[in-house]
Amino acid sequence: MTASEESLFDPYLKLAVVRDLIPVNASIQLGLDRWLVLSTWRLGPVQVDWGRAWGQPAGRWAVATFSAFSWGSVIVGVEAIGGAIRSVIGVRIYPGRSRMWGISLIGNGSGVQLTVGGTL
Amino acid sequence: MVVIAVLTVSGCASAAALTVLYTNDLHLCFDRLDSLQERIVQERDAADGGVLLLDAGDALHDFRRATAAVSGADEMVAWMNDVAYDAMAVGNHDLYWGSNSLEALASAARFPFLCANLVPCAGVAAPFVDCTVVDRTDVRVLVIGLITSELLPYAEYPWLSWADPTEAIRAVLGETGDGMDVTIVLCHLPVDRAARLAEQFPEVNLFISGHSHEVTPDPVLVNGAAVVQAGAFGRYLGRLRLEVETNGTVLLVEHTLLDTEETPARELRGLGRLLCVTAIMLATLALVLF
Repeated sequence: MTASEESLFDPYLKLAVVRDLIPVNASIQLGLDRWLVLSTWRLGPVQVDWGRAWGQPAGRWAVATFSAFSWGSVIVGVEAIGGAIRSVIGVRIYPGRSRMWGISLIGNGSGVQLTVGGTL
Repeated sequence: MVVIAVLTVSGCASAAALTVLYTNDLHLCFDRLDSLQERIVQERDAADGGVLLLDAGDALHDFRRATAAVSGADEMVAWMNDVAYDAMAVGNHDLYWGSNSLEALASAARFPFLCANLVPCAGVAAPFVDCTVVDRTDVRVLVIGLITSELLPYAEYPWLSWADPTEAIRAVLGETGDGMDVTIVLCHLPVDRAARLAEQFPEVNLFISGHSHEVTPDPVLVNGAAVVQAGAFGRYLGRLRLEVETNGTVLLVEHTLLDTEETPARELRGLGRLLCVTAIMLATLALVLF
């Protein structure tokens, strides 16, 4: 989840504050122009992420991801960037046999974002 | 003692008795572990021939009690070590601990975690294996694990892909099936799904199922195989008595579900960890909201 305009390179340092205290994880992400607190609550096929960003741009969000099938997930949430509160809805599809790479299509009221990502 | 059915003709072996004790969907049922252990010890002492103790998955986690969603799996594995389980299928709830914790639990277990139809990407080692072979008093037993595709934490294990159980059994039997006297599938799948698999694999003698919390007082007999399930939460210990004849025929002599009793469990088990989890969630939520 991001609350910023995307840039090609956005280096950051991520520190796991609470790791594997099942079902909760929490981390702090330190970037060049902002820092974030990120939390994840996992309930089997449901994952809820919430977080807050300070800096430019600041924001808050809470997103639930439902992964009922191996080939895809549905994403529903809400985000507040600046003074605007917007709903977030989207899908993430994993065309391969595993979830090592996927395609996301996420809309947030102001536009639709298409991303392709994977794990090396 | 009644002969219920003739099962399957498999590889040749000497005549031998085999008792299979089984559980499924224990879901950290600490209030029944003392009674289950007593039953297991009694059955081992009374058994004629070798004894196998197996679990068909979802032993290590539960959502119905908040404390069981955050702690207790390590204690459960320690108990399963103490009573000497021979193998456990991985259930969907067992996966909810996440890959790091599941790996630690599998390392602590003195029995293998089985799952033949979750396939890791090349170069990734899963904390479970497809199958195990157990030798008990002249009987060689192949035990295969399977898992449902329902309610899996796919996001937690991006390096795993779910494979069709039929293909998984076929692959294991092709690689390891030769020379086995008895073949057992521990399938974390409902009874009807297990019965459909039984139709396709006459070489499998026994399907111990799970996930659906069904009780089978009488085994479902399909294509010469028995399909059984012992409810959930440790209410029953399942017992099957098999005879492996000299000509390779496997006879199901008896199937019984043995009742267990509840004993008071420690109410405060896991409470500290639950409070810790709750405090972190509330703190991070407060950071977001205020």
